[in-house]
Amino acid sequence: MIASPAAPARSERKRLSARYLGWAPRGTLVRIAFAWLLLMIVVAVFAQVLAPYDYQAINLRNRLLPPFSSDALGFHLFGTDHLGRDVLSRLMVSIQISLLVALVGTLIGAIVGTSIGFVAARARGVVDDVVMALVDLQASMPFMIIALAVFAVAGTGNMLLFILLVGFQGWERYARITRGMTLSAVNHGYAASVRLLGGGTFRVYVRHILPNILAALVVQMTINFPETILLETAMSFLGVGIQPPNTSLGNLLSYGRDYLLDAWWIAMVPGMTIFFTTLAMSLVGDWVRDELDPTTRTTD
Amino acid sequence: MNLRFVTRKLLRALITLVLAVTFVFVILRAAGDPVLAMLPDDTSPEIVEQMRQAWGLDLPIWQQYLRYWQGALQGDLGTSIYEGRPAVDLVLERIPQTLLLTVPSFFFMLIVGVPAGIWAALRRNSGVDRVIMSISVSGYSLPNFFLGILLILVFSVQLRLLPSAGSGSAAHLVMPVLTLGTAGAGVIARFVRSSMLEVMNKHYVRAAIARGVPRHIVLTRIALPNAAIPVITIVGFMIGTLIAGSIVTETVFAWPGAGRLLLDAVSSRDLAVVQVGVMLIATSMIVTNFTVDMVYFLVDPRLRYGSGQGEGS
Repeated sequence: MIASPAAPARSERKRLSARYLGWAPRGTLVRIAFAWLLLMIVVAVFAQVLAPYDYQAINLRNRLLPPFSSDALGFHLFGTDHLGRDVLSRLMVSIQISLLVALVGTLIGAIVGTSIGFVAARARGVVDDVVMALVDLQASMPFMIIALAVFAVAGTGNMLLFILLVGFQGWERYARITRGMTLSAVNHGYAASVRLLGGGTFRVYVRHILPNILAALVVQMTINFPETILLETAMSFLGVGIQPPNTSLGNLLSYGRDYLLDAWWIAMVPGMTIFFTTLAMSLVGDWVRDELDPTTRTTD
Repeated sequence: MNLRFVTRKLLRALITLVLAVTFVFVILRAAGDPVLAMLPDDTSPEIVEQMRQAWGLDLPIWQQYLRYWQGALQGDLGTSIYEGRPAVDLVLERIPQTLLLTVPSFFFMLIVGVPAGIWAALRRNSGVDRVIMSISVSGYSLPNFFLGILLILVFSVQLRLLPSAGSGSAAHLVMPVLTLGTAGAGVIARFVRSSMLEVMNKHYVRAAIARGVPRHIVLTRIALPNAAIPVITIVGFMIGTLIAGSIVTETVFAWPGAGRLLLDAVSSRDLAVVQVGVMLIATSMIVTNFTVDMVYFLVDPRLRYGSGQGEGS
């Protein structure tokens, strides 16, 4: 009962992800998650085309209309907000911004972190020590605190700075993974062979070592992506992220907070969207992890 | 041998602390002249110059850095421009409220997460396991700010059971603690489960079962202590989540703690308060990490006896 016989670990692990959400067979659940993410991507790309109304159009005569109601202009699937703006249209534009920030942010973190990891592994010595000390420092601080410190100084409202900063979240994990795996790869036959054949440092690292550690990096990206969405929406919710007239899922939620008594949908619609998206991303991430990285011990 | 482990970790903690304090200095100076950032745009140049001299901003940068350290070590980290009082005092008087929120949340995470994880591991592949893991994944996918709003909708708006804002009574504490602790409980449950499952498959556990050691002894004396070791790391990590989460939670529930003070200071660019807040958080995180290392050291004989490796399976 306590110890199962030496379990076929790999297939066991593959089935585990299915059980996170219970009874649906694993394939179905991952497919639903994929479908949701696909829907989000389509909405993000075509938000301006799909949105039934201008997301900024104010109509004070139709404030706080509940979902599935109609007014003189037409039908409001998710109702209207405190200024009579169509919640669905605002949601679509918000999805666009939030996904864009998360995507660009994840890429920035991956590229910066991986490069730093390569540099540390190549240089060794003092540079390596300094990088690792910085990695330690970053790992010991919640990233949100650092972001808040920067915004306290730089002021809020600069969207480019915000995306760059949100992107830096998680760089230390890419750096650590890249450095560690590169150090062990350098001693492997293939990297040494390329070097003996006259391949330069850049060629060895980018053409030969990078493809070999890519799986681990992609796995890290699937972990990082939902975290970036959560960081962006949390910061926007707190009023130090995306600023009006731009809008993100976090902004929508923070407006909705003030109208919980009479208009629950203003907060619920963006809130559930964030929840479903991070949940779907976690499920897809587990799946990707199992597919790409059988050697890494997953957390279950 | 074992002393080397302790000194190495201590040294590392100190270096990280120095780096963190330096980081705050660099951030605050990199952004340009703090005097200009704080004073209104139409302040006359004489007053600006006066302020700069008063704060030592006309000195070379390395002297400023030394003075900054001097101040930090004496607990003098500037004055809040809005309150006109020492920033350290402002932050410190809010700390008890934040602890009132984070300490119960921490225990909530452990009291819910650890037994749930053990239970799921023991009933692996059963309905119980599935339900626990479903709740766990949902729990940490649910952003805490949204969970807080959901709780307000259900318990304050619909059921009218709990106050939606403020502090002062036990009832005020319920929803903030749930908001702050749920994600962590989910992460811990999942981690404990995987750690238990792994330990249960080790040779020494199976050998104990084969020898006929009673099941509850195997569990409490052999499996649990070994499964607990990796869990310590994740518990240390959770402290950071709690600190970041308290900013959000205090905002959602209008809780008068240090997290909200920090956020307000960021919005109003009250740099002295931000500086104290960030340093305090950095210090507590570094102390936490060091403590986690030491607990590791105490519970893991492999570290104590210096081999540093050696696997049971």
